Order: sequence, then structure tokens, then C-alpha cells
Amino acid sequence: MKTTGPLLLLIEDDPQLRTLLTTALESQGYTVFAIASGREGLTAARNRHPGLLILDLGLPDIDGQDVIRRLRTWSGLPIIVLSARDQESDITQALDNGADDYLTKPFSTAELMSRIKALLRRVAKLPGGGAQECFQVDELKIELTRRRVFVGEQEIHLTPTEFRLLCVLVRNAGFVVTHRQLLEKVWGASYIEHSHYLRIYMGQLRHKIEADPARPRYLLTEAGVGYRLNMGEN
Amino acid sequence: MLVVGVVTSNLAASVRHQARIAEHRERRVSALYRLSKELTEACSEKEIIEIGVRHLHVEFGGRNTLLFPDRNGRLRYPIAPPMEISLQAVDLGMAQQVFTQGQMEYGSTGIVPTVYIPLNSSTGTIGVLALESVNPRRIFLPEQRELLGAFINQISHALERASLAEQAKDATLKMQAETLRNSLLSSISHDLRTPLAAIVCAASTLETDTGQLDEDRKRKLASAISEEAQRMSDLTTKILEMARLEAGEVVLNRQWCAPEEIIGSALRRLDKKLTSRQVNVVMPDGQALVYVDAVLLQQVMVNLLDNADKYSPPGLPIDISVETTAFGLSIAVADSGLGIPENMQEKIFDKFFRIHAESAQSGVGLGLSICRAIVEAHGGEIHATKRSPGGSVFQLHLPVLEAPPTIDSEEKG
Repeated sequence: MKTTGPLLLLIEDDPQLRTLLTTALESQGYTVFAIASGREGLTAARNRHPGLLILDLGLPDIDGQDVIRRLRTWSGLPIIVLSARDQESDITQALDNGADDYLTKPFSTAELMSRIKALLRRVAKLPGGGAQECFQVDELKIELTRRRVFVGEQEIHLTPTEFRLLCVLVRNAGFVVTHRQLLEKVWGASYIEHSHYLRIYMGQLRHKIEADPARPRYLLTEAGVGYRLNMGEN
Repeated sequence: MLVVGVVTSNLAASVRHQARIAEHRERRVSALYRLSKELTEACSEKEIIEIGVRHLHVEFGGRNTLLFPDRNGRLRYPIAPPMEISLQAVDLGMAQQVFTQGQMEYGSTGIVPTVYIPLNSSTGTIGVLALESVNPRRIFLPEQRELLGAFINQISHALERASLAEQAKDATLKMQAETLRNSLLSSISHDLRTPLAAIVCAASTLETDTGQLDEDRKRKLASAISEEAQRMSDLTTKILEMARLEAGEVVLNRQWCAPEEIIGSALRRLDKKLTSRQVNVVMPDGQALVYVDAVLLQQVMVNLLDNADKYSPPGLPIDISVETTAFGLSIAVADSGLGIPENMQEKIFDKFFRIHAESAQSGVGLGLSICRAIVEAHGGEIHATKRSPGGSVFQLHLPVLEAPPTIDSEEKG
């Protein structure tokens, strides 16, 4: 099989799943380096210069959270975390530690592929691209430097805080941003425990931007984790 | 003559006084009698509390409320919506102190001073009465104090009786549950084995294929594996979730959340399933914050909506209505399906209960039990009722524990 894409590092301790994921990823043109333990994974991340890491949180030797923390001390390598279900707190922690995205088991190959592609796209855009001036998804258009927001032809007036909140989501468009990250970036570190600020402003923002705030099209809730600005099919 | 006059008039006054005392005594006795008569007819805790609050109000004036502990021994407001005469501004800290120490206390933090009196039963303190002392004479005069004591005794005994009856019922239910267990286990294994059989069959067909299968058939087998695996995944998730809730391991992660968001994320999770169905949401106050575990409550909504979709003919709408009041959060999910027979409206919340056990509807009968466990963990209630002209309504109430936090306002930009 011809492999041309960037190197993907896979850390997954279950042999069956490791093999299946490797096969699936290779069939999409990626080169995969698969590893069963966290320690070896960290070494590989240093030596093999992967373009992206797919990390299972439940590892036998060191905790997946530790892998993320240690990695983040020296690397900005994009990380997608794989987690068993019903563990919102694990997911939130992983994202707060610096993971970029997550998938809960079981997931389909198609889902994994779309996450990998989106993440690689985001990384490719970063260097030298500078600040994006205009952001658009469906009817929603945001002019970042001019601080103007439109839904269709209609200009929407946002308060400064609402605009800041929207901007953080725009900068991470398509990816989940945790409650903690939003509180810290919009209100500051001393507001991390004041999650009600976020809920209230998110509600206001939805009422201004969404046609039906109870069934949002742009500002999606990831229950127990955070919010994601919808990029449609990414 | 004068002496005789004075003596008679004194005598008359004394007789009048005696008569008045007798009259008061009689009034008190009959008040007590009326209370106990109503209490003996009440059979649920809720009724007893309602009767108690009403009679206490009539006899002693002022508003009052009866507070009882939750599972962790912390006093909380009653779940039932308060009556007009219910006292709401209660110093819960003081009530808690009275509850633990079993001694009456007098609180004067509110506008009207309030007395906190423990409700004692044979097993110890079971709750606390908080009573506004609008007219202290009506409460603190020795005869009235005695009467108040008698009232509280009556109410405590009635509650104790009701709780014993409840326990006896629980014990019978537990026994029944035990005998049901074997059939339940076989039902689970059936539900898990069916998709598993399909997976093994499809996978082994692909494995042993020697080139006989065309691309189309291979794809069909592969999607069968994927669909059945998804079904198994849903089932195992439900079983695990129920087990976790049952084990009492679930600690609520309460946060201030907007109901709108909870409903929105639940609807989104069911997006694919509900595409051909109209879902009407009525939520006048969707942004008012409530203090709940959003992830678990979202699960409740997903289960209720999933059921509404499964058990009502395609194309018919589902109606969601949400109401937030100062006392709590109410959510109703209504469908236009066949409805639930009246004698099963409670049973459907039991584990592994299905109205049509042999039907092809996939599910293990855990969805509603999970809902109930989550709602009860929040100190709330969930019920199913008939909807006219047809269908069912699932309604849940969660009590509000604290007033929503305020935020610093911001200048409009």
C-alpha cells in the first residue's frame, strides 16, 4: 500500500484495536507507527517526528493524562484522545492538559478520519498565516478585526464579553473548547470556578445568533465538557 | 347585702372564667380531634404533610413548613409545590441544628421570628417544623404549647406509620425483584446475544469468503456488523449506567446550567433518529439557570425522547415543555403514541420492564429506570400519565435548592 501522508503515532495497548486502527489508517494513505505503552510512545514522539498523536487514555504503564502533560512540556504535537464512554471528567482533563480533540469508544473509522483531517488542516494553517480576518460558516459571518458579526445580511450587536467568547470559539472552530479554557480566556484565571458566567453568556449569544436557541446550529454543547463551534461536515 | 353582692359577682366572674377556660379547652380538644381524624385517613407522606401544614396554620397562625432530611441526612424543602400557607424563607442551617440536636430553637433572622421544633418519633428525630410566630401568645401560652406538642406528636406518629407501611411494601417488592432476577438475566443475555449472533455470522462469512461475494454483498455484511455492534454498545452502556446508579456510586456533578442547553444537546444527540419527526419545544424561561448534573439530565432527556420516538407512529410530533419556577424545574415530554395502560404507569419505571416483552423494539427496559434513578438522585420525581386524546406524557420535577447566582452586569457594547 502506498503511504504518503504525515506520520501518525498511535499509542493503544489493546493489540486487536491497535492492528485494526493501523490497517484503517494505512488504507487512507497515512504512515502509522503503533506503540503499546506510554513510555515507548513518549520516546517515539521525540525520535520519529510524528505529525499527529492518537492516544488511548487507559494505558498499562503510565496514565494517558501524564503522557499528554509530559509531551506538552516540550511539544505542540496535535493529540486526539481515545476514551471509553461515560468519562466526561477524563475527557475534560485531557483537553485541559492540552489534548486537541477526543473520540469516545466505540467510534467509526470515518469519524476518526474526519477528526485527523480537521486537526492536520488546522496545524497546516497556523504557521505564518497570521490572524484570520474573516470567518464564515453557513449564514454566520464574523469580521474579527472590525468586530462585526452577521447572520445572513443582518448585523448582530454583541457585548464585548459576548464577542470575546465568540472569538475564542472561532479560533478553535470545529474543536471543543472546555468550560475551564473558555472561562480563563474570556474572563480570566480567577473566574475558573464561576461556570455560571459562561452559561449565561452562552445563552445570550445563542439567542442573538441562533434561529432556534434550543436547537443550535453553530454553538454546540458538548455536555459536561465544553462547547464547539460547528464547522459543518469537517 | 353589699357583701352578698360582691360575693355573687365574684362567683359569677369566676364561673364565667371557668366557662371560658372550659370553652378554650373544648376548642383545643376539637382542633386536635379534627387533625387526628384527617391524619388517620391520610395514607401517603405527602398527604400527611399537607394536612399538618394546614391545621398548624389554622390553629397557630403564621406560615409554616415541615422539613425532612434527604438520604444524606440533610434537611431540604419538600418536593411538592408549596401551598400559599407554606413558609419558604427558612433558615436551613438552624433547622439542621434543631434536627441534629433534637432541641427547639427560636430564630429571628427573617421578618417574622420563626420557631424551629423537632419532630420526634420512637426512632428519633424525623424532621423539623418551622413555624412563623406571628402571634406569640398563640404559640407560647402554656395551654397552646401543650396543644402544639400534641399536634406535632400526632403528625410525627402519622408519618412514622406511613413510613413503616412504605418499608413493608419495599420489602415485598425486594422479594419480588429477587424472584424476577433469573428471568431478567436471561432477558439480558437474549438481548445481547441476538446482535452478537448477527455480528459473528456476518464476520465469519467475510472471513471464509473465497471470492464468491460481490462488492455489494460484502458491504452489506460489513454494515450489518457495524449496526449490530452499535446496538450492543447502546445496550451495554445502559446496563453499565444502571449498575453504576444502583451501586450508589454516582456523585452528582451539579453545576448551574440552562435548561435550554440540556434540551438542545439531547436533541442533537438524537438528530439522526428524529429527522422525520417534528419536535416542538415550549420553553419560556429556558435561560434561567438550574443547579443540576447536566450530563445526567441530558441522559434523562435522551432516554425520554428516544422512547417517545420508538413508541409512537412515525410522523407524529413530540412535544417538550419546560417550566422553571422559583420552586423547581419541570420538564414534560409528550408523544402521540398508544399510551401506557393505567395499571402500568408506575411499573414502566421498573428495571427490565417492557410492556410488550417479546416485541421487536430493541431495548432492555432500562431507559426509564435510569431516568428515575437520575431524577431521584436530584431529589426529584418522575411520572407517566395519559395524554388526551392519545399518547403519554412523561413529567419530571426537580426541586430547586438554591437561588441562582448573579453576575456582574456588563455595559452594552
